[in-house]
Amino acid sequence: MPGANDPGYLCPQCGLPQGDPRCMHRSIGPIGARLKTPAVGTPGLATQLPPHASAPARPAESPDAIDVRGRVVPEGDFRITALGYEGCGKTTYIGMLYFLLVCGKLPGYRFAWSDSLRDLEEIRAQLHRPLQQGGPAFPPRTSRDKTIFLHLGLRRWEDDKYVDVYFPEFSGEDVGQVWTTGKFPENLSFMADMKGYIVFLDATSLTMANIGKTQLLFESLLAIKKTRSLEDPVAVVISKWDTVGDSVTPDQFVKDRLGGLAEWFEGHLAHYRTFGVSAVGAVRPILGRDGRPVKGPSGEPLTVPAPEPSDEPDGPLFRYRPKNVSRPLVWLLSELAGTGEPS
Amino acid sequence: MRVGILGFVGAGKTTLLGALMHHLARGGGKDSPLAYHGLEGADSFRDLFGYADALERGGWPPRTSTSRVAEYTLQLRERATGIVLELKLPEMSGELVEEIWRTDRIPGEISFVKDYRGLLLLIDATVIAPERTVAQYVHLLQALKRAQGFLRSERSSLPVALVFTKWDALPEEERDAPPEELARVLVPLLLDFVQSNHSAFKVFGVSAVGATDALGKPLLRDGRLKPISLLAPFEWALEETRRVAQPKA
Repeated sequence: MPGANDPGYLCPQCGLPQGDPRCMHRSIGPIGARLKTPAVGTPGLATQLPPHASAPARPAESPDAIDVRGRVVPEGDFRITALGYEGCGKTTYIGMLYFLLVCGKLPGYRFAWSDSLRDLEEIRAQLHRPLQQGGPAFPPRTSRDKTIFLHLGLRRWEDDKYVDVYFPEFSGEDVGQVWTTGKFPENLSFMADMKGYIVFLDATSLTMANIGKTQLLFESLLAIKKTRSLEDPVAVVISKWDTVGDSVTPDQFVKDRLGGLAEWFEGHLAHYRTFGVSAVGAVRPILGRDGRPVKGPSGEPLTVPAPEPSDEPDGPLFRYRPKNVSRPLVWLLSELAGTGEPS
Repeated sequence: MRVGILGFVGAGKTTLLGALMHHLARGGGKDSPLAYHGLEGADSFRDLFGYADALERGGWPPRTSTSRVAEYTLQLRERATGIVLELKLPEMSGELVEEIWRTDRIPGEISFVKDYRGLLLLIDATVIAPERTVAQYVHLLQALKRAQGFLRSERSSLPVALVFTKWDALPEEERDAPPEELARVLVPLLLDFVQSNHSAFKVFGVSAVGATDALGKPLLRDGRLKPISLLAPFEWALEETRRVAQPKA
């Protein structure tokens, strides 16, 4: 029996051939007509997707279904993006920011919007996975075919300002282009329109190659901003700070371990501040059946978040003790507003 | 003026409409500025009177079928002006909310929700909603705002109320606190979203039946339910939708 898309298929309700424009039965009507039916509601809005971020076209399940997909078009005066390579802790950081918002505990700001709610909810669920299901875990590292953007929209309590924060998850191809050519791919050129940056450096992975890659990332940013010195504020986040401890300040850490990069910052960034951040507060190694730590592909021990169990009967299962998660963002926003860091 | 009633699964949408029908049909709400005006469609007559009947017999309305897509219409009239407020109760199953969440599309069969001029979102005050469910309803409100053509950074003029149901079943100290405080504890993400995105919002605590007996069934006194603040969200919605509809001077 021919399928709905096969030649010779007849509509079982009216008997007309497949594709006949007179067939009005929506589930089996003219395919071309269904695909060409415009989605209602959003044309002409500033939320039009730039070509680089467009998702594959999907046919509507009925002619008047309304497409409500998010669009990567920053709104408002405060536009912030995170920068950092895979594994630097960006995803866990935004996941924890979202979790703070879910609990209503991000100081000074409240949740306003997210075009990535499904992804953020997935990260939150990983961080709060019950012990019976394997316990808390970091968001899985996936190699991406296309750069995607995790998004949070916030509103400041004080003056109701709207803020868009984007956390790009670069595709392997886009990362490769920055690394090989020193330039952001054309499809990411809108990064130049951002007004503030959060740059992530993994405290546990400061190899020479990674330092070089990070510096090249900054150089690429300067290139698309067409400047040799960045006026926009930059929050430099040393992630996984729980592994460093409090014996040194983040500034001291950068000077001691990344002296060249620290000098580069001084020469090229007009407004920056360094923060030591731990999104989950503590981690523990994953142990194999032999009781030894399991190692990743590069020989590094694999870890999972190690929150304390919560004793609240109706509260979350675990009590995380994140460190400084909100400070880089709050500082950056204060810099953008010209108000200085709130006391 | 069309006001939609949406709600988490088990929040009591059907009971609220049944109780409202019962309240109005038995001559309640005489002190309210709103009066019963009528119903629209055979489904509305059959089902809403059916729900009211179940409550009057001391039982609960049957659980809503999840396979249907329907929209009941109950009309209220403002006594002073004669303006009619249409309450729309879409049969919006958890599966449909899940589908919007998964596909970022409002299916064609329920695209009428974008035409609402006010929204009441019902939440059970006695249970902690799972984070994922809260996120799904935030996503649904985002979808509606986007379908109505608003940018995410601008506020929608659509008034939205969070309505906590089963208010009578809360411990006394919680019942005495303002409903907004409960929202801040139970659904902070949703409260933040509504405050950030809608120029008119309010949180209500209502009880459709007022009290339950020892068996957990609706408690009738002299054949009547004694609902708590039942009409308050509707009165507010009428006021707000009318304010938005008025041309600016």
